[in-house]
Amino acid sequence: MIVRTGAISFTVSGRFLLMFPALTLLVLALAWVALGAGLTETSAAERLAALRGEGMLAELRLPRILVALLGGAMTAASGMILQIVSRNGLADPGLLGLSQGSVVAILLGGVVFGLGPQALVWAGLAGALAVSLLVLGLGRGMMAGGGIVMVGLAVNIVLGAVTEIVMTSGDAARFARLAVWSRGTLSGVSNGDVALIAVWAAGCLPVLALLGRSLGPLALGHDTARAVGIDTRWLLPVLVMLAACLSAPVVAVCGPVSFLGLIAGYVARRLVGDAPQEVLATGMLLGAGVLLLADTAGRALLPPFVIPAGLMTSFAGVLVFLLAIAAERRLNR
Amino acid sequence: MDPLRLDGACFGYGSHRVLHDVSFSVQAGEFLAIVGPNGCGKSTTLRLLAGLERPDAGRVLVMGREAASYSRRAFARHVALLTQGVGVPPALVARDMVAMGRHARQGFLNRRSREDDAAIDRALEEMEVADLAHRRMGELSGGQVQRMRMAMVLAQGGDVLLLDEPTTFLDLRHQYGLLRRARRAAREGRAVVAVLHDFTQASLYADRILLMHEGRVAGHGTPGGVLTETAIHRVFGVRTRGVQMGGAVFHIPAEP
Repeated sequence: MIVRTGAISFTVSGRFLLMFPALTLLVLALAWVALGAGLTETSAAERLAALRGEGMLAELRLPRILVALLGGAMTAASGMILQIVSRNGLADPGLLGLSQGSVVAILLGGVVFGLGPQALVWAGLAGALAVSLLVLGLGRGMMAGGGIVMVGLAVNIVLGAVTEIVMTSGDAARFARLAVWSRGTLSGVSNGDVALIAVWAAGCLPVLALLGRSLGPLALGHDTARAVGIDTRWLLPVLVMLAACLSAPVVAVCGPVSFLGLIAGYVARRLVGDAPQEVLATGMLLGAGVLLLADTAGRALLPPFVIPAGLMTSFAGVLVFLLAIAAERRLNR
Repeated sequence: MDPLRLDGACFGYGSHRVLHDVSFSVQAGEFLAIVGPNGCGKSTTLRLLAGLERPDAGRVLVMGREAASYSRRAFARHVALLTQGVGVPPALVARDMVAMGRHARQGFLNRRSREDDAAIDRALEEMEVADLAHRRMGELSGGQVQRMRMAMVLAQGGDVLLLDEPTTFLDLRHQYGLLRRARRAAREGRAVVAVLHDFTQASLYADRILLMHEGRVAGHGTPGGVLTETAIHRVFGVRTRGVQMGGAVFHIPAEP
């Protein structure tokens, strides 16, 4: 479908017009449920008050929900950008090691140098960028196959070991705190964290919107993209930086939430097709919804225990990962 | 001014020299076919013309200007390139892919103008794939994908058309169809360069032939003048007998 008014024209698919509003409603409904979910009964009036910024819920659950929505969308966007850059549908900041790079940098920054929250984001960003350069550099030439995922896996294992070393080199209380964070969790999220994440989202998303038009041709191979007029020499590095900027602040606040980009990209492509901007918009909505669902389910499944959201998304993610590999097999046959 | 000109171009990947002092030019309205054995530098020459690589020495002039001096966007308005295919996203709607050929002519707000649509429709008709335009790329056969890719390149327009092994995956009918379309692009005033493997097709459709051998120009001129038995023996190392018929040059092995 083509929309034209004056000097503005663009295309939009019927599937997207159907799926996007439907998913938006679903995520909003989920947020409403999440606002009420917990050990104590919560009335509709209390939830409405929270949305106005009043009462306990506004202090406790609302920031958690907002961070889940924003962080989920950003992590998903980061993964989908990496999928486009590497031309590999399995790419994800968790799988490629970007998140783990942030984790190590943040741990070192926090534990060794005692950095504050905003400085930790920058440390996380540096870690994510360093790993993305390493992985995309080593994995160059094996982007389309599973090669880049293997490189990411190797980097993940090494960085995981570094993480363990830093975590175990302190007292037990610190270990417990870091252990939960390093699995990806939204407990203990405050309004300050919402603001921190929102600033990064506000910075990154307009850039993404501006570059969105160039993402389609990239999927046809870098030569074809250049031939139709895209300067990949600056676009690709900018996209990788953008992916790091979208994932690092989320890691700084919630720890690494793995597989979110993979899940979001895979499901979004199934829902709306392969037009990158529609996939991105749909996938970000899915990422928001999945992280919120993971966190809420983690709180509600086995009270009073809280299962870290990162573990919940890992469960779901492995499932999607296997599905994606099986689907790719079928295609290649 | 010739739309395309290579002036003493040398190029190598690392220490491996691929092109040595290659010079030739293509006029507006001319269809040039580049032929030669595997690894002789055909595709690399095309990459230089497409501005995808820069020569280590010598110059690549496109519309009278150094290729490297263009922005990619401005370059794409002059030069369209059919690459050797890599995989396409399977869920991509074919028409949306063809529309990507128009990228350099679209703006941030104006993403699908009426001119874009007209060019896309025309290209789809010309490659006989209009009825497949609403399908997803993953549903198309190899030949259909290749014709869609050619439609994308035709939709791009411009003064120069570069085709890297364009007949790959195509059945005979569509090989002829594509080459006829390439020749017509030349007749309409564009400069067309295609890397081809089949001499007969090259001689039948192209105005001139560039024969390459070990990164050098081994022959440049009319099909009958370049594709001689001696030249084929020197470049390919096989003895053949050449026959000319209806403007085409056929070579059959002397000792089958």
